[in-house]
Amino acid sequence: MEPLFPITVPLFSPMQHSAEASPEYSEPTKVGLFTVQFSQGGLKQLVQEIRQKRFDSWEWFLLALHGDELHVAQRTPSGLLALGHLAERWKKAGVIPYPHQIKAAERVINEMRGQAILADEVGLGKTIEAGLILKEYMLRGLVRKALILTPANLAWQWYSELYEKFNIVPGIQRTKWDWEYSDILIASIDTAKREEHARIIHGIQYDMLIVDEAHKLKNSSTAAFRLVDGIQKKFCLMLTATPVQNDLKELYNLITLLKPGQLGSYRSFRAKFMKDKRTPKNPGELRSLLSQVLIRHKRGAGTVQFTKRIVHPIVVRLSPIEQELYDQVTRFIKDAGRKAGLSGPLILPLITLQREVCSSFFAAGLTLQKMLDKGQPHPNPVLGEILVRAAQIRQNSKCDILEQLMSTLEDKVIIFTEYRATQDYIRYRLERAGYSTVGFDGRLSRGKKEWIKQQFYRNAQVMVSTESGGEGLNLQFCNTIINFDLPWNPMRLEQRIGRVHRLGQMRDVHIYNLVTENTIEEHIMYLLHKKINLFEEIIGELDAILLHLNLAKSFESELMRIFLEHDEKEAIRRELDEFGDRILQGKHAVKSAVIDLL
Amino acid sequence: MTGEKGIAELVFTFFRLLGREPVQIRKGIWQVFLDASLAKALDGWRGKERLFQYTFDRRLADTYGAELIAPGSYRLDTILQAVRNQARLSRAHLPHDLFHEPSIRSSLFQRLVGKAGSSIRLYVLNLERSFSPYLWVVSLVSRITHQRSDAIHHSCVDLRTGRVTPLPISNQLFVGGLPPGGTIRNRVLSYKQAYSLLCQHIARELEDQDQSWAEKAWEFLEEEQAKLARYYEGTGDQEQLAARQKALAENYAPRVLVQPVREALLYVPSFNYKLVEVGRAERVFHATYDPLTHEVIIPDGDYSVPNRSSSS
Repeated sequence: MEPLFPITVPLFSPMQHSAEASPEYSEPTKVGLFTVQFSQGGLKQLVQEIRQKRFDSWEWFLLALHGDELHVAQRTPSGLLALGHLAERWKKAGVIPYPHQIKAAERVINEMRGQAILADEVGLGKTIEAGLILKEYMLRGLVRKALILTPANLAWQWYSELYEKFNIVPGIQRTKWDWEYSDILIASIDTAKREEHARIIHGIQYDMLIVDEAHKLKNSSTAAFRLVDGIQKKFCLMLTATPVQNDLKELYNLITLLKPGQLGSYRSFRAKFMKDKRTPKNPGELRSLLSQVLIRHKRGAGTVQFTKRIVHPIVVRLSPIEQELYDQVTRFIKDAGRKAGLSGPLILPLITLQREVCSSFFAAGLTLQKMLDKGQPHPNPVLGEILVRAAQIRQNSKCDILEQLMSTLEDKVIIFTEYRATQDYIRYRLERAGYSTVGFDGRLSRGKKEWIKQQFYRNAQVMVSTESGGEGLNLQFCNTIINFDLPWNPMRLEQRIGRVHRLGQMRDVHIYNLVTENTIEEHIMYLLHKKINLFEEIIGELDAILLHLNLAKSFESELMRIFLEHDEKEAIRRELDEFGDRILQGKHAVKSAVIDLL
Repeated sequence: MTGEKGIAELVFTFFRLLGREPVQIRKGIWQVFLDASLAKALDGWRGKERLFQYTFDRRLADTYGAELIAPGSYRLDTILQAVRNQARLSRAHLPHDLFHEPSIRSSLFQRLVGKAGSSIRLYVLNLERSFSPYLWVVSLVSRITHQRSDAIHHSCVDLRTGRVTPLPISNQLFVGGLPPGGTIRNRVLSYKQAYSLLCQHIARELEDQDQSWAEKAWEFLEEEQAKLARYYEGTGDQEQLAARQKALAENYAPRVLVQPVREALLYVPSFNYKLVEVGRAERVFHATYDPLTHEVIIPDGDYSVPNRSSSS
């Protein structure tokens, strides 16, 4: 095949060199107030090419020269280069950057010199701001090597955001080789802080570091804090919706991590700005110092108005035979749970079983079978009996109601369930009833996920998704969600709703919750809907609240404790009321701590 | 040319040089066939052959869905990238006939006679047309603080004399390739020496330019270093303070990076005259006219302007 261009010269990519002086540059020479470094690699290459007589045509040379001039003219920053560069991509992807996001990016680049805490409230698009800043620096030739540290479960979300919205193809860290070889790398902060990785990372000079969920760095004695502190970086962005939660020291730590000395020493900070650990002194002056490194936008005028969330609880009544089976399973769980104790190793499968049985008997059947197998050669006779009865059931009242509900909906619908067995069954029932469906779950590869998403967008009316598949999925074209079962953890529920109720959603979002009467679901619904009003209100700082209450990992256990300790409906309700109050107090505490200062 | 016209010119030249001819399918919208290799050059590995419709007008792009090629657009960027990855090195010459020899001769006489006085007469014994080698270097000069600003710098090094000048003639006048005939005078300098002279020249130029950008950067740096010093005051951790201050200086101290991005060997006509001065004392000497700089070069000792009183 003939070469495309006259001579394709393996260039040393003229304008794509690292912002840092690489060995190909000469030693710095002092000239006036600055130093100058000349490329030595350029000279070597020139001599080599002349010797090899690798001369290109003059016309191409002039064209390339014209290209250089245009390129440099384009890079003269009068505004953000990324906006023009990404305009078409955004048009195709349906991304509309909000003015507050553009303003934030401009401020970080022009005023904050690339060092900032992006502390917008949840849902205002901090990731977009960070991506925009990263892209802008890349276009300006100031960032080549960047590291993005995120909680592990957000790595893929970052990947797709950067790829789809910014045309940046990052790597996701898998091995220790990736640290050096991947220019833009996304990594789990928990992996990165491990000694063997941290050592490598600390030896690398990064042009930019981005830390997501940066409030996790509030404690200066943690390994994560030490990791970030030791990273050599020119630009640094920290993303958190809650830069301060309980203690002003957390804020001090975060700012000092970003820019040591910005708030002085801790002693002087305490003397000057802290009345007590939660009340600031000289808030005006402190705010002014913070505004040099921290950007915070709140929902409302000037930023983003979200559409409404409209909740439709739908009560499902089980058939007598289903109810009997449910009661039997619950009795079994309570007996086993009380014997095993809350901290025992058996409690986790029991929690799972209790959640599954609320979803469908198909989902519970698998766990029951496993438990039965585990008990061999002396299987629990109750388990065997439950399994036999479950296999005999030919009816699913929840799915019957779902079909009825579907007949009233004309638009696209996402149905969420926690379990794959339930997902398969729902799809079977809906397909049988004449609906076109697609299934979305965590087993799918990235390419397939994208394909399924397109299928849903173009052809199918219903997407049946498990939540592990739902992470990082943006489906703003749909505004109806059906929660076939309810997750016990409000964070997961928020993530479900967040698939459609996010920036770019133009219509009110309808949330249908199928709640089975006389089951635990009724109580969960009471807690999440009536008590903490999760569905209609974006709690926003939910993760921070749970962290604040030390419930991030134990929400399910706490619920299980309540269910195991009490049999009476009223007693459970009383306990749930108390639990809900704790959450509301936590919400208030977190919110007021943040708002007071920022 | 960097405006919209310049962009259009670049795009059309790009396709012309590739042997493609864009067709205007609607006023302001062009269409060209991208085969697989060109599509890959523009779109990366997933590029596939297709009809590529483009426009330079944002309004038309929105209306007809053609790809927009405008300042800052993604498509312009990919074309620029493809273009800029080509032709790192080239060579070209200026033909002699671009210059009107009788005028050069008359100008030469005027200068020599002007210097020596009107009493002498000069005749051309011989005219040799040769080419002098120049190295034209296009460099990217980047001023870096927390921001970066780039500029293109052009310089020519005379490979015989080591003189560095900007290219004082339009590059459009050059013809690609080696001169078809005529002697190319040997270069005296190595490329390394030429590059070194070029670096010195650029450094001098930079020193003469406005340095307020560097002043601002130092002010910021000092402020930040003072903050750091206050933070570490009394902690006794001088080692860490030094390390942080060093990192700060590395990141924010003003510096300039100069990187050659494109070079060309230029062969510039040289008019070498063998002249005879007649009058009181007859003497033969050589003079070379350089049309780039309009200078007349007479080798040392070859010609001294005769003193009228001594010759009389």
